[in-house]
Amino acid sequence: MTSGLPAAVGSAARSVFAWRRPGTVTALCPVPAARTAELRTRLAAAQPALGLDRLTGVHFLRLLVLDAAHDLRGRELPARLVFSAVLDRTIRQTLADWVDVAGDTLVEIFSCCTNGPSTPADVSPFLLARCVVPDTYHVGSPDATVRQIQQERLLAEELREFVGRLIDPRTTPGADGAIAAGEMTAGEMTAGEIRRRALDFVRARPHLPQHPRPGRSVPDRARQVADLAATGAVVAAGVPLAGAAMALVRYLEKTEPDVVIRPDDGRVAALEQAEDMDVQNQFTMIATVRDSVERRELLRATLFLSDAYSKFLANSGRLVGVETIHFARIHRLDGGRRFLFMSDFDGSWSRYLFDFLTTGSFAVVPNWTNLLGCPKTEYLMEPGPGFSQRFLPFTRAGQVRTDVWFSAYPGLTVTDILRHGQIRRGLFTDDGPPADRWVRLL
Amino acid sequence: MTAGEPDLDQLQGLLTSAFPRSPAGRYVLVALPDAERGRAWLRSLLPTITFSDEVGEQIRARRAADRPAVNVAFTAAGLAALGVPADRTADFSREFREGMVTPHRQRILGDLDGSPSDPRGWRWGGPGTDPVHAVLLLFGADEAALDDVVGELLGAATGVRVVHTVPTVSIADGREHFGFRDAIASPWVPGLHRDRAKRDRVAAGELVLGRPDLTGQPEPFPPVGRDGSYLVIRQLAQDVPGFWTALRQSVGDAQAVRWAAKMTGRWPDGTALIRSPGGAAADPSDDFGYHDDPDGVRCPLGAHIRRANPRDGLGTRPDESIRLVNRHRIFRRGRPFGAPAPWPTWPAGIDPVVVDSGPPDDGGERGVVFVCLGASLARQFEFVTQSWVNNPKFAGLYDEADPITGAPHRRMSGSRGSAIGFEFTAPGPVLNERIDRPATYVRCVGGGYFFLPGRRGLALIAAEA
Repeated sequence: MTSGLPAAVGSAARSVFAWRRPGTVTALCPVPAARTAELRTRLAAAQPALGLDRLTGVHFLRLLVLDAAHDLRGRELPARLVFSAVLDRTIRQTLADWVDVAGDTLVEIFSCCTNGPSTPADVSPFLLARCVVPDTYHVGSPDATVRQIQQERLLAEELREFVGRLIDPRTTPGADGAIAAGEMTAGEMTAGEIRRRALDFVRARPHLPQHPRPGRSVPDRARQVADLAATGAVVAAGVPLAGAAMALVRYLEKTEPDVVIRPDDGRVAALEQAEDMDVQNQFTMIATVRDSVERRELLRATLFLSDAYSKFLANSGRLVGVETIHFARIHRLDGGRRFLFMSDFDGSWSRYLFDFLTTGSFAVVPNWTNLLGCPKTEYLMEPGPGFSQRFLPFTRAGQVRTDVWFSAYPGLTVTDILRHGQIRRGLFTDDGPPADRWVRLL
Repeated sequence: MTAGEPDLDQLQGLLTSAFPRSPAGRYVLVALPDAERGRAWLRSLLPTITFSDEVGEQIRARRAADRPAVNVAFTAAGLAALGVPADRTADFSREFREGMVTPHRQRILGDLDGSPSDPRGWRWGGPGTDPVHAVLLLFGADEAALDDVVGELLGAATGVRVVHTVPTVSIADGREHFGFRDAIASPWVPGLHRDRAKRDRVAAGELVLGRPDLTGQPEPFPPVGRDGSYLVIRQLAQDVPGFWTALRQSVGDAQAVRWAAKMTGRWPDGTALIRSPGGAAADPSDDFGYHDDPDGVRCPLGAHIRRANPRDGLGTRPDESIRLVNRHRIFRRGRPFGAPAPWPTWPAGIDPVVVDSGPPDDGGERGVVFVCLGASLARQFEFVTQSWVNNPKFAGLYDEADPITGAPHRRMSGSRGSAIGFEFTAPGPVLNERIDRPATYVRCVGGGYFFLPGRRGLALIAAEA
């Protein structure tokens, strides 16, 4: 993150406008370079003892170590332990619970950090003091809590089995709301009748949701409106500068050296060992921003616009046509000289990256092009010759190992979550999908 | 010839043809002796290799070849065995250099340890079998002609050792062993293949290294790779009695063919469900898309051919879908192997063409030798396999892999817990209908990644000091 007063003011302002749910938190904890190996060893052993599945409202959580590095002018950049999570509750509440569940393990981990905690009571203040706000944050299933996602999964699966019994000739007549002897067959039932029976089925099962999902809270709506006004004002103020900015972009694109960064085969093979264990995957990438004030400011601007785009326009589960991202966040580190990208997504790494190059390029390329080693673009957006052949290796080269990764709902895609939400809405309200569409969701 | 089109005399024949006029086919997997003798063997082989200019002349003259076609491809280990220095192969893709069997690639391809396709049980190409360095792909008029070629090219004096031979069979009407017409849809490259539907047209660089692909740039390649293509071979055994027996038990004899058609996406005669959902009329046209069937009512979303080539059906914009899908197309060249399954296997209403062709049942294994070509293993074959065919969430489905070739996956949902199995969803008149089946009826019993060099590449390899 940028340091100093302006950055602090910016972070505070963004916190005030933090109306998106679930929220996200990242803490950057410097680590003496000599202790990174030891820290990785501790992290590798720690996951079962971290008690992550006993925490309430944690969607995804990761811990990883960034090695010490030097910027392009030779200045030292410290090693860091990165803690990042997506949460339904506040970070204070979550940390309090976490310390209760796994205080000693947390001390064992975070005590490797510079000025790290020595007792469980020190863990929460330590992390709170090192929290930063992302420059860009994308939520794939807005306003869904972990509990709602898990409950709606149960609802959808039980309904799917219920309607399966409706049309299964081996079903005992009358059992579980299935067709009773002498009644019409499932083939004669209308979609509306099936939905009515489904509602009866759910009403008889108190462990399933009995109401539509609550909407966004009034305070959050107020924050959203304020955020929209503030974002609109910033964008309007920037419009007169757009022409000059684009000229600057083109100048930089033509004059900057074209640096090729390739991944090391052994490193990639090691990273792949942790991939594709589930339909969900994760990705963490660190990259160096091209070495100029202009690029750093451009990146700040494109990340601001990406964030605005995500929260105001791509807020129904899709980011420019990509429906595989649960959560993504981007942080600028070290005064804007480095770029940290963390994502929880569905499907394979290669599919995710192909989305970056195709349907999602509008949201990705203008940010990535500011990074050293990214193949060149024209006018920020338009991939230059050979872009796609070099983009994947470049992105792979920047990937770092995520030492601890937790998902509260493995096996579920963003599409599943959105569909389950529609099933719930269509079951309890009239503003969901019509009955013939609703039964097709099962 | 236009810019970007390769010279036909530089391309091995398999790039431009599946040799349909040669009913006999054989894949001979070999290990090479020391580098010097291996190169000597390759030099002796060069004059016999069939290139695409020769194939083109035969097609234009509508005549069969005078002698069997011979093509050759190498594994990464094979190139090393021939003495090609590692720095001259470093620009081959990592997938090729690592080979088909790595823990991660096993997850991509569904060859999981302990699964029916566990590489430890493979006949060839697995960790427990002899290393494969090269494959000879032979296509001719009959088996005797192929025997002659094998005797000529792989005599004892060459030092080349045959690791495994996969003979293929020819089944009438282009059917595979489950009884369905196969290998209908294919991408094509102007100048290399006959013109087909515009939506299937791709750039030469999607097939041939060294040429611009659909992005206008070539995939990375070393000099020895120019005019060559990556080649995937997977020997897939089909449990035909098991497939039909399970389906008949699940949906009844009268409905078995209808459900198998839903699972395949075509009727046995090749008519696409999307064109004829009820199967009333035979319709050989392959010019169709899925955009107008977003819920899979006419052709289920999870049907095999819809997964393997989603055409215009991904997302909401058909043109965008075709553009995206065409970056992942593969050029198939497979053939069936083994005798057709005997009559008691088959359900009511299926065409007897499969049983009436091919050799008589010998109780042995049967299946298909899946062979495909492409300029990128990761972007084409592996992507299609992982993100479409084996993906339990393909096109918004909840928890099901390809009903024909999909790998078993660990179910993650509901009362089914973590059982391994398959589900298949087909929209009914009002509700989605589903069938369960307990096993996979297609399993991989051997496989490997190869590189099929161009003429100059072969000469470079043969001359490598």
